[in-house]
Amino acid sequence: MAVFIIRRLLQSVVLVLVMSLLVFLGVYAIGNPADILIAPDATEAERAEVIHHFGLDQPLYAQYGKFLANAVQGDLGRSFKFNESALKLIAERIPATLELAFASLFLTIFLGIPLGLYSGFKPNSIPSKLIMGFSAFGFSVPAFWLGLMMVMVFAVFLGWLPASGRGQTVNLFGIPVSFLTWDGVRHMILPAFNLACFKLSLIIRLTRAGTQEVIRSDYVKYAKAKGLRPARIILVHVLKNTLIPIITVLGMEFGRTIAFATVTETIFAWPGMGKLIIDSISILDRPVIVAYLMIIVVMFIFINLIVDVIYSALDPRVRLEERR
Amino acid sequence: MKGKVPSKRQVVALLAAFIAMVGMTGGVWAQSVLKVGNSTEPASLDPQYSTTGATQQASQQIFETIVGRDKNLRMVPSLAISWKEVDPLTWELKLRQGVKFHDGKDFGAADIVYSIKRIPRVPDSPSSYKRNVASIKDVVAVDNYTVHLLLKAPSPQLPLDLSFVYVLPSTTPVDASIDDFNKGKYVIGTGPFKFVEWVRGDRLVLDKNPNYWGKKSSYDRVIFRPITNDPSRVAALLAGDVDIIDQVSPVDQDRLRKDFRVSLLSKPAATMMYIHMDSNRDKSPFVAGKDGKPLDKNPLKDPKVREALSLAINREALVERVLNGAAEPAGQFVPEGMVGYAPDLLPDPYDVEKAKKLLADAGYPNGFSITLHSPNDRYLNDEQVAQTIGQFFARIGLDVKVQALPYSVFGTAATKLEYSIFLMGFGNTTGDAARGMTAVLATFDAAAGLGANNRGRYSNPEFDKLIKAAASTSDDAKREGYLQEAARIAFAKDHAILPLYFQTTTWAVRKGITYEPRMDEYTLANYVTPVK
Repeated sequence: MAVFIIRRLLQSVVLVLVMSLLVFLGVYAIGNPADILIAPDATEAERAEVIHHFGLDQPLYAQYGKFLANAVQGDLGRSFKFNESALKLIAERIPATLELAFASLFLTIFLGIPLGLYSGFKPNSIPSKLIMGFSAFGFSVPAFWLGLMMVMVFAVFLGWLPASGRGQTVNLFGIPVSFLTWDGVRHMILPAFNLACFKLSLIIRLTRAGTQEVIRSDYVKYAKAKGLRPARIILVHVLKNTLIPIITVLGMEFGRTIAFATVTETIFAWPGMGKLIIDSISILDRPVIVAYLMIIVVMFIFINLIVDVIYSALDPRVRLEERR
Repeated sequence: MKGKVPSKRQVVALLAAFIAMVGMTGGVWAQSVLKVGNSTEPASLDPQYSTTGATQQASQQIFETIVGRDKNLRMVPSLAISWKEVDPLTWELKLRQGVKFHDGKDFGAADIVYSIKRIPRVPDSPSSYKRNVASIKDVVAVDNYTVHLLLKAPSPQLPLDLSFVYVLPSTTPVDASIDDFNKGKYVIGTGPFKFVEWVRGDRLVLDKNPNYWGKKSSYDRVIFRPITNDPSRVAALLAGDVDIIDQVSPVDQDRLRKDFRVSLLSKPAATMMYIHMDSNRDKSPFVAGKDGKPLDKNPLKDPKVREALSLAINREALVERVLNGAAEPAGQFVPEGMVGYAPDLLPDPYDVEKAKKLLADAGYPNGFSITLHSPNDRYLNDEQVAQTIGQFFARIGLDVKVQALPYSVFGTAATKLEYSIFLMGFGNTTGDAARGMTAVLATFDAAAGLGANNRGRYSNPEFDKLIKAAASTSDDAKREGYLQEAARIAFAKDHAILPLYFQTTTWAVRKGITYEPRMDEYTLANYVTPVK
């Protein structure tokens, strides 16, 4: 297992390097940050000064080389627009995005799996049909539209929940979190639902399909015949065996949620990373874009690693070592 | 009946708790709070860091400039109550007395000296204020309320430049980092509000400055919340999460007009939208014959063709249908009220017959083909406007393709002269026509910083002469005369660019409050007042 993890980490270093190179080339291909950032009526001398200061007059490979040299010392560059460390800008916004992502994961797991299980056991009942209808709706409707609809219904017409923003925060180990205050939770409900919608629908269907398949298997019939309590059959035998595809999907989706919660964050004015990245792309703030994507790559690798480790815990047939 | 009557002790305890709770929140209830929903947020709280409107909008609440500007962008006294040219290279400023900074320190000449000298030293700013103090050689405090500015060369625009210099206390350390500012450490100004807290992306919290010399705020506390998404901002207003929002899009305006909970307030803004044409090159990349083959000469070089294109555009319809009335047709660079506006220059009429005739006279009876480029994420309904213009051109016989792109790509390409004809905008933030006409229409001269936005490379020596004359005279009347004459040459005679419309900016407020709209599009919280 240890060897496995170490090999994974080594592979990730290569991946991160490749990613940084691709982003550098990509941003360069889109346009010149100088044209966007510098005031249009700056004199030629001013332009030259700014370009020189940001190092944009160097050949691309020189800029990349400098970037790598700084990166190994932990400095991923300073934002062109804000003149603050790119890492710091992103780190400031990570807690907000993570909080939202975990809230949506929480909803997905504790709402999606039970609903899916129920639907799998009693596929023809009316609640089950309602659940399936909702899930079809959930992953065919665009998140943007759904978010706005939720705001109109719950915030404007009913006035039950706030329309946007993050609620009151308290510091937990120095990191501001909002789920510990009632005001914070109220602000989180709509965006978390919006973010979870697609995943929820997916998980409900996956769980239902998995459940239906597992119920028919021999070991479940045997357990029933033996007279085990239904709760034990469901929770221990059925659930554990349906979880593998679900964990895979959750892992992938969770990574995607953190990386690209942009739409939800924009609609709900949630001060997270997604908003930062979309703004940075529009103004070609290259240091922030590069730093962000590198962090995302590292995060994805980490999530994949955890998912693989959970596999081996769930299914004894899966071994993570080399197969001879 | 099984009732439980609370004992006397329990009642007293409950009552005490209740009173304590009311007492604690009572302090909060007494404070009146205004919540503003902004479409942008500042890049930094250092007022000398960035000239962009988004950052200045925040700086304007906390700090003040040496010379002020009213809602029509005309200059008014602020921290300087008077300014005059003593000799061509020396200006004298008289300063306002009795002003205090938020930390209690008295304002005086030393702060002006410090603020002007600090600007060139602000590190790493992509849009710095250096240009506004570039003409100043030295600053001398003659006495505590008089300052002399010694110039490198005569500069009639000095007062205008000074209206962009924000004043910081002279006690601010020279090496204060941008990080310090963003945490609020040296955010101490003379303005109507004091800094309380800034959480980037979430809120900027300011408290009323009770000792402010100017128009005091009607609210104890103001919270600015950046909500960049248009529908979300409107929803926040309707839900009561915010009391006032800016930059209401035309689509939302229709809806809000019918809602009794809110009122709309508008004002023409400084942004002028126009069509820019490659009037310089013989071979232009996106102009060709109708058969797709290149033409021997570029039709856009002919003023008759340009006039024809202008006459083909129905500006009234454009404004009414595509922008829902949230604009005014334009015939020149600046709207009425700004310096340099020539009352005889009206927007070109809509005349398809005349346009076709002009095209035929110029030698293109069957038209030609063009690709019209446009940004799609920078100006209000920019892509739709470009599509509409394309259709207008088609009506006089041209074959038109419209290409809309994100500004990050479009801007670079247009500057590299890769386009032939495109939609563009210019923000007349100085309140007069000089800056715009110099940037967009003066002959391109990189060394002198002229024509930086002249992406069609229009060049007329007469025009250049007039612009230069306007820049070197400090006689306001003469200056305006030169600018008007230059406008007549560029627009009525040459049709150098095709002005389309001036955007209007609209705010929406909840019933019970009102705001005085401004041409610079800022939302100044101390001008938001309750309505009886």
